[in-house]
Amino acid sequence: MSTPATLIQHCRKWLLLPCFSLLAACTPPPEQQLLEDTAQTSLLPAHRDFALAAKQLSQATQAFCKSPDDAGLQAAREHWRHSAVAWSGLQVKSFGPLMEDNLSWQIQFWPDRKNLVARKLEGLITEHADAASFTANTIADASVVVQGLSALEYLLFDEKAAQLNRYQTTPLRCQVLSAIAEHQKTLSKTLHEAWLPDHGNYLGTFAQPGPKNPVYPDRQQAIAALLESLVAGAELIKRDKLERPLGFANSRGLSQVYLLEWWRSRFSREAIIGNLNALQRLYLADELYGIDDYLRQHQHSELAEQITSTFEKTIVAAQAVEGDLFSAATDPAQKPQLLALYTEVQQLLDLLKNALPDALGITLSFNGADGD
Amino acid sequence: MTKYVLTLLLLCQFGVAQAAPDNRRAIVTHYTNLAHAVFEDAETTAQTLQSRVEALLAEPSEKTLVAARQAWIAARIPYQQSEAFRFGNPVVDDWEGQLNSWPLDEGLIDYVDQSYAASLGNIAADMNIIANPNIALGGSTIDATTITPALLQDLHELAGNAANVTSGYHAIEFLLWGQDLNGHQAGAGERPYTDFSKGEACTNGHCERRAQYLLAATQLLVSDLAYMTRQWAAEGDNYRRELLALPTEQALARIFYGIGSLSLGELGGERIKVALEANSTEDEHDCFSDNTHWSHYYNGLGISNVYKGEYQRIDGSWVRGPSLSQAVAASSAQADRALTAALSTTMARLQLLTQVAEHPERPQKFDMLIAPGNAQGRNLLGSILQALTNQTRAIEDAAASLGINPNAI
Repeated sequence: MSTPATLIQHCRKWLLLPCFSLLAACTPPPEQQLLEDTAQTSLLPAHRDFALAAKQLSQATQAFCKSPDDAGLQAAREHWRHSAVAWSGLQVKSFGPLMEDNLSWQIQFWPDRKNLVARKLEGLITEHADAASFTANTIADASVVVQGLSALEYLLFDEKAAQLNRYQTTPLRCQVLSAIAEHQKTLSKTLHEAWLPDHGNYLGTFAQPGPKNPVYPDRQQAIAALLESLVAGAELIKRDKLERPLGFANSRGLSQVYLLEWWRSRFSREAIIGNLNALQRLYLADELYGIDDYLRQHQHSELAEQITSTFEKTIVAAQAVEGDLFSAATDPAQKPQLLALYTEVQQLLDLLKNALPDALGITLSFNGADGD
Repeated sequence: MTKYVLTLLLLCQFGVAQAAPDNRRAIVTHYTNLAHAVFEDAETTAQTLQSRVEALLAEPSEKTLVAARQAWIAARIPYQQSEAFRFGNPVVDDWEGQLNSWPLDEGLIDYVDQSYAASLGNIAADMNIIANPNIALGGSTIDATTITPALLQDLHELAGNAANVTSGYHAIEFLLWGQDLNGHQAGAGERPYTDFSKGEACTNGHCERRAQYLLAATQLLVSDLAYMTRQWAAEGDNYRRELLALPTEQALARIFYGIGSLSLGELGGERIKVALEANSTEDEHDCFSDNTHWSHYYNGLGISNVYKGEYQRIDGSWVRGPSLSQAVAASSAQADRALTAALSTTMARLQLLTQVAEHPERPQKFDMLIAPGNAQGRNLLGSILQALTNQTRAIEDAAASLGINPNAI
């Protein structure tokens, strides 16, 4: 969101020319500014935050494994939670390097209907019982199921697997834990660097569309990627994080709590709030020139306000759910709060998926979640 | 604001209508003919499956079991092509779950190996309907004394869990093949025909109820398919009529939405990528029979059929008519060429998948291709995923060239 003052400041920063009119004299073109500002306020920070959180998580697991005790385990869990929040900010940015080489799957494997995380991890630990065969490459070469935050959640929060004495009696378990955290650290660093101008410079790819840019030959296509990301994020929350696990989709209305994201750590609600905050930021670009400002500039002030206020209401509704979703799902007293959240998310999705692309004259692409 | 948007939309539509006076109505009508032919073939092949199942149950032997399995594989050919009609048309999408749900927790249906791993929290995962005429579940008892199509319908998605699949192709597949206990190694399910034998010869118990189950599931499949064939028939108050009554733009959007969704999200995502990335044999589509390569191939062909307005029936005859391809070519020759080429690439790679799987000396089925460390498998499946992604982008461009928004269904 930006006031006229910040907008003028922005124009100055660009061409050192005074702005006579927001519409006419302000260069760069609003589309360009939208891409630049969104990248600076939302895209780059999300990648940076995740890399930082993953680094700290890796340090915490190493410290824990030196001499496993309860304090160390609690510290590792806390850093896992920080990483999960940071991931919730990236999870809803479904374009760019994250989508290459299935990086997002290496970070999270979910839903895991058949408990592959437990089975594959325990299989891997049994297979490498003579710890010498467990090397730095074991995790990198393994199934995505054992590489990411999902595997770490199992090792840190599962009722049986995460018991402290198991780490004390079987050092290999800790070796596996810290190797996976290390893998995440490396992966998140690579992912962050892929955006940086002095490395992969996806920032340039995204923020400098043009005929010579193979990914975004024009600005509209880069803006479309933002819109698709907003829609995919809201759909993810609605369908995968609420509808399916809470039983809003099946005719009998029966919840399937093991489909909840992060059910083992009881962190589902926090991750949804993290997603919503990230989506809101992607839309507003904080105080800079975001999609909301772009809508206003194109005579869609009413829609801009509607989306802004729906974001606020949805976040309030998510915060109003008490405790964790795993318990709330089967607690009749929480049903109204869950339904209220679901309704708000549906409204948000409707605005983002229909009204917003219509207003901007953009057609959304098929995405990988269009199947069942 | 609304006025502004409306004006823009009107301008766009006017512009497109002027630029391409093509035969859009005829394309939609022909699309319903294609759907009818495909579902009718699916129904016919399911009827053959039913008669082979009846023969198996009348006289269980290796020969009658193999004949029933072959009929199941043949029945998959039109059905998998029919999935190109699924996502865009609610009548198909809301119905298909009872026919093609997977993966399933097969312990709900019959005996399973001790290595069986069901979905988390599924209270019915080991219910074994075949072994239990009376089923106690959550305080109530279900009377399953006689296994009928109606009972299977009632128990489908029991407790709201999508893995509780009691009916459809994969339930039948499980009863004909049994669990594939070979993991990433060669071999499919190896259920003995004596699982259906009468009296002393019966293996694994409850043969009579197992036979009852198989027959009921097959009958239900036939009646479900007959229902869908009627929905696309030229006569009657059915979905075909509903679709033809829609504005042409919306009907075309449904056509594009159907092929785009099957291409990327379903075939590419759910059916290939999940299994490949997780090295998960339980996420293999036709996991009991190891027929997955053909299922994928015919999904691909279904997409191509819809775009080209053609379908080769099981009797070898062709259904051909006005196609999206012709209309797109009239608006943008380039968009049509690109999509036609993308479809060919996909089909060539899917064909390679079937050749690798059916190799006379060293066959590698899908469950072997997704094994950890199988570089050849990863490359092959990766190349199919890439082809499906490119094809989907070409589908979007083709729709755009006609001024159709595939999301406006």
